[in-house]
Amino acid sequence: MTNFLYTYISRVPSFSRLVVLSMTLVLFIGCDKELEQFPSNAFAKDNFWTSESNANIALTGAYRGAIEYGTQVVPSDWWTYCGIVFMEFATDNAYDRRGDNSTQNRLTDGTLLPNNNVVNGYWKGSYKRIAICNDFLENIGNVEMEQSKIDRMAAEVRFLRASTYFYISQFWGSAPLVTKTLTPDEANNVDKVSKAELVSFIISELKASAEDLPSFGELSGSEEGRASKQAALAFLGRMYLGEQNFAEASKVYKEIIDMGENIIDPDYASLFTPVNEASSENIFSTQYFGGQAGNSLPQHAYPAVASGWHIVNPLGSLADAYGFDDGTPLSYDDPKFDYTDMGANRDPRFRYNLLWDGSSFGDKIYDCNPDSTESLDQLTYSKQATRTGYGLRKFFDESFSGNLKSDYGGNVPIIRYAEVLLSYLEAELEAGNPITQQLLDETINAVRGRASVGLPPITETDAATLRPILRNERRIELAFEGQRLWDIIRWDIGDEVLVGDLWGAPFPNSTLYPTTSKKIDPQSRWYVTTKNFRKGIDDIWPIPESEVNVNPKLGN
Amino acid sequence: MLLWCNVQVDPGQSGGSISVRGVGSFGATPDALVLIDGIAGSMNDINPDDIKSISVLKDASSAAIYGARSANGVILITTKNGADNKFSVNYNSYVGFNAATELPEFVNSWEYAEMYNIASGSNSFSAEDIAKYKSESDLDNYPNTKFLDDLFSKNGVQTSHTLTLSGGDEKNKYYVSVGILEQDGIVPKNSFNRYNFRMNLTNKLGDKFNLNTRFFGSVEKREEPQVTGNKGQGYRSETNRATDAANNGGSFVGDLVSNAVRYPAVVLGQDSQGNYGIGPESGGTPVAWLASESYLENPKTKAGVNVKLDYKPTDDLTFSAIGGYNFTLNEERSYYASQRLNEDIYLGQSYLNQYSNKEIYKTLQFTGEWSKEVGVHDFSFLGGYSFENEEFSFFNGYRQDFASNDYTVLDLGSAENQQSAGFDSEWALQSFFSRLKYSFDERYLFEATLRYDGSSRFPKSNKYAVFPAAAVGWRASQETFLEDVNWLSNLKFKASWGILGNQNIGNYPYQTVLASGRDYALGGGLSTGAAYSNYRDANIKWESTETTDIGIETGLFDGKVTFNATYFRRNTTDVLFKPSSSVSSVLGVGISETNTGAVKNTGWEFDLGHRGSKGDFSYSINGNFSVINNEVVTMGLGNVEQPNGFVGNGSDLFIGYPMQMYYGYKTDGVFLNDGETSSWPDQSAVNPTSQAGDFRYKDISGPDGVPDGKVDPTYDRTYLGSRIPKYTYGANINLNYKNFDFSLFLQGVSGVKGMLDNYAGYAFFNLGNIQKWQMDGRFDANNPVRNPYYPRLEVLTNSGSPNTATSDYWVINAGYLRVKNVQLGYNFPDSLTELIGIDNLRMYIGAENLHSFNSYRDGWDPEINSSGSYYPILTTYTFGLNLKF
Repeated sequence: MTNFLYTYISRVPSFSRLVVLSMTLVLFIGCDKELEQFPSNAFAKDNFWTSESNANIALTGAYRGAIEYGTQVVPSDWWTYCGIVFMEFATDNAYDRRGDNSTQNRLTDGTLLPNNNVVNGYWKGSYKRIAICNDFLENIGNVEMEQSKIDRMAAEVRFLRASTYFYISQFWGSAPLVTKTLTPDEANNVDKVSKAELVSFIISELKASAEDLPSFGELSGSEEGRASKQAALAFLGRMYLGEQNFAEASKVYKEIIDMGENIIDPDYASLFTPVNEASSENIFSTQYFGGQAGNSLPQHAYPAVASGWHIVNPLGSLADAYGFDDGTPLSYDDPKFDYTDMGANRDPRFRYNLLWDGSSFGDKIYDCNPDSTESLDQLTYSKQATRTGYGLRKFFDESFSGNLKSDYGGNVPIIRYAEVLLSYLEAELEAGNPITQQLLDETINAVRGRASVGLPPITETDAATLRPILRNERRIELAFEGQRLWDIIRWDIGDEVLVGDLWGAPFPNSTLYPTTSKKIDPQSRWYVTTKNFRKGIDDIWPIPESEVNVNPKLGN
Repeated sequence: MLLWCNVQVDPGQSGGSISVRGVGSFGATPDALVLIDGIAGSMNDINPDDIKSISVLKDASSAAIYGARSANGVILITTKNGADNKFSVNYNSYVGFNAATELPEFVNSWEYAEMYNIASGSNSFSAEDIAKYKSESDLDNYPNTKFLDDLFSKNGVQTSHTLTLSGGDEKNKYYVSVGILEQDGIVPKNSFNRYNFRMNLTNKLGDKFNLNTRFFGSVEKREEPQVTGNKGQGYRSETNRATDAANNGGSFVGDLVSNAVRYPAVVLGQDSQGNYGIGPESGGTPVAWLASESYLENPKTKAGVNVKLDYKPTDDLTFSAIGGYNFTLNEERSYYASQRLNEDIYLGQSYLNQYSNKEIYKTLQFTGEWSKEVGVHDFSFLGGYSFENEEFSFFNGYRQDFASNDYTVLDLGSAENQQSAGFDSEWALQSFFSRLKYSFDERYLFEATLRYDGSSRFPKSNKYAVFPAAAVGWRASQETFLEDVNWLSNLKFKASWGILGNQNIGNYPYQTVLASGRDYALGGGLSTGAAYSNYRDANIKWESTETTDIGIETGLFDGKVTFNATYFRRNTTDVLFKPSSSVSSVLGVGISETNTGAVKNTGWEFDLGHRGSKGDFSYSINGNFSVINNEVVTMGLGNVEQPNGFVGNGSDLFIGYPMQMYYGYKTDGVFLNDGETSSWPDQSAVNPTSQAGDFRYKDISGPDGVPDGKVDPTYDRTYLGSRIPKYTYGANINLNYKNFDFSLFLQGVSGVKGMLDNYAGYAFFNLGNIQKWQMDGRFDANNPVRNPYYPRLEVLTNSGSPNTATSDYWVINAGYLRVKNVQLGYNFPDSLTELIGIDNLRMYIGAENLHSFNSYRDGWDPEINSSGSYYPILTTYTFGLNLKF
């Protein structure tokens, strides 16, 4: 370089040489600095892990994980409203308005393929959150702050990572276990580990994080939404349930109960709206915040009359699982059943969770009768409206007025104390322990007997008879909270509940029903879809095709 | 053909990339560098009337001197200067009318209803309904709305006026021009106007100095319609906006056009009372949105100065200094209005996103050239330095819930959820270069260039790189042994070779950061969050392109016939590529550019010209033809060997195949009946529930390299073609007879594939519409044919269905031959012009994109590869005049 400059310069006359040389030198020195540029709107990694406030910024990023705001039909994370609520489309609880080709529906209708974008979405979201957590855990130790704070933050992030692996273990079984940040080459060459290995990692991580996490009662108001010991234990309980290790599950759930910091809230409906979402029944929830971090579920699931897209369509199977308010199971022949007001005399949770023909939603009337050709919400196979004759009410504050996509701040619960109690009873039951009335009263009866539900107590102590009662209670209590698919898989009942025709609401007095419903039902229920769950295939998801494309080892 | 332009542009959008000789990289942006009077710019910046000449430099050696960004070719634009002693005034004007070259035809409401019943296997629309649609007697309840026709309903009119004054004397020359361009889109409320100004001054200062000063500026404004608040996205930060733009969303093309393509005729637009239909998604329809008070305004102000000072101390020596400064203020105000649809439905959301972004581009260049003629030896040596720097600053604000659509400034929005954001960004390049030229008797030519380029986009250790280039030429026609060959007026052989660098990537590609904006609500409020989100290669370096050219130039019969041929080879290595689809998502984060992979473009270019005249008639004909073989040589990191033998990322980049390729299944018609599926290879891995009217995917291969009786994604997908044309050709015909002139420009491509998908390609996609050709050509179970124009109708979600898997049914021939330009002009005779005191008057009529011959889908221009968000290619008829005083 200098040689070249020198030879060039030596050829030109001295005056010009001087001019050019000085200009060049000035610029060479002056502009070299301009060639050093750094981004202004990101945190340079080299000097980031230095202070507690920066560590808090990174911790927030770990909680955010792969959650994206705005409407989504392919989940970016297990914990978005799409990741949680839309998973029910794969079950007998709800149907996706978009029809049989919906990739959530295809998870369990016998047409699941490795290019299913929902499977891919959960996969990508999982490893995205895991990478953020790994990066956090690799660096948090370098921050100069009190060790106890480091321990707590590390425990929170280990909880986030372990609970992500919990889902991975339950839906894919065997998958890569990544516990450090990878290079692209490493990522392309990872091996799967066995499900057992994943499970033992999850168990030890959740146990360890429970040690360092504050208990739910110790979380201050400014720490709302952060992980507690109870949250870690609840995931540990789920892990044991999934592994059918009922004795350990029972112990873990008992530990949460004995801590005595959570309640069954008297008011069921408000647990799912901003009104009462801070209730200590909600142990851990996805935190939404209207405006920049809003929950778009209203846009997606409001009925058409309220400008929503009605994507969530509760199935008759779920609706009918809600019995009468005297505790008796539903029957269309029972005089308590009223076709013109299906909410009458029902388990109040039917009314809290669902919309039915003629019910009100906010100041609107939800008219989904197949004969109501003028209604936006008419039951058809063509309108952007119900496909079952039911709609979703759970999670909605009906007085909300704002942008349906962005302004709603309602959280979506991930773990509720009600689940803890029902899981505890299930663990005791499946472990073969004797069932006492006291146990029933402390668990299932507390859940269904809360003030706003008020169903009579269960008194059945025989395990075999109690099992279906408990499973039904769990289903209707936790409906749309993303539990059903996991329950179906771990109870191994896919071939019972996800095979054959699925129906919607009954419309015996409809004149259009006989010509418009694709299939006719003696009970005049609207035909929705037919599922063909393949046992042994659909209970384990395929590794996404795009992943196997780049790392064929994952296909084995 | 030299250039391959991507032309899908709506008025005022600065879209359109220019590629020279294929696509040079799958990493860094492979666009050609546009230099206006030596300073980087954009074709959109300049009034065509100000252009004196355009030349395209393709080979590495001639491009080398023009900068660190010239690896993909250089387009040199020189603007006009004043002439000696001659004051003249020119006035050029035209008026043009636009219409879409082609528009898809969608079915009528009753046809939609019938087809929907078939597709859904239901009676969603009763016979009674269908009859009501068909009678069109109750359009308020049984409408027949043609959303796309309504949207592209306007005859776009454009007018242009340019007035120039030029003149000067031996020492001082000037050229001044002002121009006005007004364009109306074919969509209501879509317009673009530009007012521009230029002043070029040339002054001789003393004996030794020469000063060129160019001032230029423009004020322009783009306006577009928008959807309303309930349909829009709310707050959009600069980053959101960039993502939206990349996905074709957020714009009126993304929201309005794609929904106009999507919404079927059974959806009410507007009823006889003036009420609007609420649309299938309860947010209104394109008819309502167009009528709403939503708007987008994008004013842009540009100003620049370019000064060049030449100093010639002796006859042999020239020093030049160039300084350039361009300022752009790019503002945007995007208001999404609230709207009353009907008595019951008032969509209350309204918000304003406002952006104010500034760009400052600076450059300084110094060159010194020494040239000397000694007998038959002609030497010249040039050395130079250049510095370029561009700074951006972004600022935006947002408010929502405006009390009235009449008052739409930020101050009048609600204080709730107001947002503001901003950041800066910058890049810089610094280069040293030298060139040696030597010619012997003008017979043997030699030239060598050496560059030393540095970029802010690379880490310290790799900022700089050396790029050499050289060329040789032999003008054989100057040789004595060819002196007697009279018919040969010119014969020249030439060869060149060079390596040039490319750093056309984001501004901060190597610095490892935690991405901001990963906020989350903790403690009841939104907390600031950041997260590891991108894997960065801290050692990235320049992408480099090695170009070799070998060519021949001939002129026969005094240049009446010319023939040129060139063979070229461009090897791009160290491709700066984000190998995202080649990296497992187990990585968990995005991946930034890394030097991985190589691309090769080889090909031939031929040019044949002939000109002649007879009496008052003269003509010239030029034909060109080129072949380009684009091929991925390696993907480095992304080289994953697929079980079927393809090596690549498993989706769209494979070694040995062109870029922008389609990878999918081969089809062999459809099943005629359900029974046939059992006698076909098991294709349940692609379509678990094959039935009559579904594609029969071919069993191409299997684990043993032969068909295995099963169709699956691993073994049975293959290369289906590429969007990069293999052959491009064109012809230019100019005829002159007395005062008439006529020109015709034909342009064509072949060996190219295209695809229309989603709303544009599939029937009933995500509540979408059905096109007439799909209805007419659909598989009919009652009258099954093996190769219907369209497979079984089905209702699709936005994830498609097994029939929409990429296959040779969807990937279709996108070749065309287009009458690109035709013009007929008439020069008024002097006798007449003198009468009215002017020097020259010419009037012309012309047409652009007059017609194309193609076999693409009905209603779609073959240059459209779309999912439904698109702006049609336009046919423009112009009428203009050139006037000179």
